[in-house]
Amino acid sequence: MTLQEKIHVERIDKNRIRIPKTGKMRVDGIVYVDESLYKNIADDMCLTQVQNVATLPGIQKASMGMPDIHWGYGFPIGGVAAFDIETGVISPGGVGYDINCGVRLLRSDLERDEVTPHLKKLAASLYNHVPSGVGQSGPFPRLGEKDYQKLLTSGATWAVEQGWGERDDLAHIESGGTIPGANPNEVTKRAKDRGRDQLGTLGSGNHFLEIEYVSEIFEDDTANAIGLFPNQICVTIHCGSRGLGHQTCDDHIAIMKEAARRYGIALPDPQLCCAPITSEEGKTYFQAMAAAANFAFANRQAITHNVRQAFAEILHKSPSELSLRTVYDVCHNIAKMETHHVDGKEKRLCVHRKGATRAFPPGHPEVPEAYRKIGQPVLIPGDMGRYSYVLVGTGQAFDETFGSSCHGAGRLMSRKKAAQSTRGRSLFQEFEQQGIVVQAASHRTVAEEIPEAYKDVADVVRVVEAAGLAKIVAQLKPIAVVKG
Amino acid sequence: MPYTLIDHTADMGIVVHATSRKHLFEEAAVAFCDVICDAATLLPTSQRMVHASGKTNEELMQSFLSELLFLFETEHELYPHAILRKITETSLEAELLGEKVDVKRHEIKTGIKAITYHQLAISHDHDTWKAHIIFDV
Repeated sequence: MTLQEKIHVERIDKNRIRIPKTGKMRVDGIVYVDESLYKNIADDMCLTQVQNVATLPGIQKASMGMPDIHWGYGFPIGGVAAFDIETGVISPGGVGYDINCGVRLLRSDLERDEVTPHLKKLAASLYNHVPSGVGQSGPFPRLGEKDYQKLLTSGATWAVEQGWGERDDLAHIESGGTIPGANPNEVTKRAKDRGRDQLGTLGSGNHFLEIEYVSEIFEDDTANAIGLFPNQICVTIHCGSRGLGHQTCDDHIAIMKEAARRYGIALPDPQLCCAPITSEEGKTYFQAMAAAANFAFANRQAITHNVRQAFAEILHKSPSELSLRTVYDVCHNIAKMETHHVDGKEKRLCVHRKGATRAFPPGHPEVPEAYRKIGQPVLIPGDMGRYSYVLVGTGQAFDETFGSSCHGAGRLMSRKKAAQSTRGRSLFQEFEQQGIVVQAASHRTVAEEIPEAYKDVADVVRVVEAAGLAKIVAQLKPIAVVKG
Repeated sequence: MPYTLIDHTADMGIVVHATSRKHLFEEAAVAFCDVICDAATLLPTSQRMVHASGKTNEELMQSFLSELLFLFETEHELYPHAILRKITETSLEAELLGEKVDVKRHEIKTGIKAITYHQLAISHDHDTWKAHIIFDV
């Protein structure tokens, strides 16, 4: 790949830059970065990618980048692009390999002091109950075709029907834990084989399970409505659709490459391969993507069940005493069919969020009733040593970014450099000195995931809030991390 | 080891070198396994045949390494030793030798989600062949 030519950008305000529409771009590019975050990306290919996405047919308003933007495959990570469902395209690159990689937050009635004496045992129990790491089989029976038909259609609902959760969980998951329109028959046997014994597993890389405490509350009433209080013990689950999703993306990239050529869609980058949403290829990709997304929802539900088991086992408390309830569960790699206003008209759009999180406002019917007055919770994980954040969506995000926000911090350092920088260090001891117990399948993964390898997520959420896309409600700090 | 790691911020990549097209695929199998776990610790106790196809060298490489990934994810087996029994412009058949991963002997270093098309390039200059491959991890 050649280095990008210097792109002409204009600063709109303290939190946004514009890449004006030029050449084959159909809309402007708008990236939500302040001066400090802009310095990280000024020479990054992601701005070229924002430009490239802006050339795709049917794109609405702008090709957008969230404050954690960095370069990805075709579409940037931290990218948001919405397409008219009649005239626009759908692209696997706009979703990512890990379909419905996302985050679930559980809250409890426990306080930090109650859990700290049991932390090592609890972390070990979580590690046993929730397999992580490469090549690990899940704790649930292998999925057969009948299981798949229901699971891929109904997602988290299927998991609750197996006894792995409550109806209340479903009410607190994006889209109720089911993306409608899924077709299990559009998921290949190869993809199903990859996912067959992976239900209930975390995977590896930057996926994790974390016990944390609420370290700071920024909006008292909103935190109260969400059920958060200072020093409260919470659990965050970060994972996606595992091998089934990865393979589904792979299967459809091959189809879309050919489809883009056949439909005469000019691609500045072959990885933007896409097809009209209304085409056979577009429809089958959406149906398969929705099915894979449902696998991820079911996976996070199954993991939630085992987290509850681990807590009950170690703390010898009943479920009602623990009250480990789902705060919310968000997707950050997905394409959703949504209704938005464009130029004063209501339009049905296919919104691609790749490394971006939905952030719907107060009053929106898709926001759970419990949160309708405050807005949809937005869960933004940080690195394994610092903090994560809970925010709520706003009307401004709905107006400007199709109700979208950032998804995390983004890497600063390559895995190779991170691993090299930890040579000779006793990482697990270092974390323990900071008060964080780490259980990991691979020392190497921990080395690659050290906090210094990541940007500070506080810088990212600060811009999100300053830009009016979401409001910061609470900060959470880790005390135990389980990694693959 | 005839491959080098590419320093990529978010993911991981390799550059593989070989003295022939056939050999490039064989070395890529070693490199793929070595990214996941030290390939030298994998014994050739199991055997499988795989087929791969693609319209270009790049697609063929992606297809071939995807077969190895599939075996790792579904059977928990790694096959660093690939002997190409047949190779044409658009397909190959390889005999694979390797074994099931044993956590007592094999330290797993990295998980690979997919063999991407991102910067995927195969080039050659006379008998020097090179493959540039990025994995989504």
